[in-house]
Amino acid sequence: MRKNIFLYLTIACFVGLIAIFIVDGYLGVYDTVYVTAGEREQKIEPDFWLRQDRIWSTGANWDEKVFFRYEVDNRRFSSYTADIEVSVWRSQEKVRDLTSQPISIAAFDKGQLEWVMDTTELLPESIPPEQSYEYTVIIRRGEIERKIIVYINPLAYPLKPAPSR
Amino acid sequence: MKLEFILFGFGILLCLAGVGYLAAEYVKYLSEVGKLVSLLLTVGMFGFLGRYFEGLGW
Repeated sequence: MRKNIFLYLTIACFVGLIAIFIVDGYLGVYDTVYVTAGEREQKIEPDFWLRQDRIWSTGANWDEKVFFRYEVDNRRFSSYTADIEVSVWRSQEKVRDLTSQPISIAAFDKGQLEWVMDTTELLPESIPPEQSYEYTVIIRRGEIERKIIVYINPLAYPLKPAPSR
Repeated sequence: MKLEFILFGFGILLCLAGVGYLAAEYVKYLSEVGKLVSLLLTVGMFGFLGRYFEGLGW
C-alpha cells in the first residue's frame, strides 16, 4: 500500500482533473446565437459571453432583414425552463419587442428560437439613407442578458429618381 | 525493453492525450476556480507520478 501510494495519488489527481472538466466545463446551460445579415451567417459561440461585458457587433444593409437563431443547449440531468425576451434598443430606450416566449428543454437536449429584425420597421422615416444607424438587440433568458449591436450601413449611392424625358 | 514498460508508457500517453483533448475543448468554459483547481491537480498528478517512478528506482 505504502509502495503504491504515489501511484494512487496520481490516479486520484487524474480522475479529479477529468471530473473538473466534465462538471465545470461541460455540464451546464450554453447558448449559441446565429446572426444572418445579407448572405453571411455569423456564429456567436457560448464562450464569447463568458468574458465579462462582451457585446457582439454586426452590420446590416439599409432596408434589409437580419435573421437570428438562438440555440440553448441544456447539458444537465434535469430539464431547463426559462422565459426568453428579445427586444431592440437605441440610446438606452426600448424601440420594440421582437419576440417573447417561454422555452422548455429536456435533459441533454437543445431548444431553438428564431426571429427576424426588419430594418424597414425600425428606421425612422425622417432618416436619410446616407446616415448610418445602430441598434442593440438584447436577448434576455431569465437573468442572463446577451447584447448584439446591429450597425445599419448607409447607402453609398442613394437612390435617385430617373430624370423624365 | 519489457512489455509492461511499453504498455505503461502507452497508457500514460493515452491518458495525457485524453486530458489534452478535454483541455482544448472545455477549458474555455471553466470558471476561474475550476481553472485554478485544474492547474493544481495537473501539477500534483505529475509530481506524484514522478515520486512514484522515483520510488521504483528509475
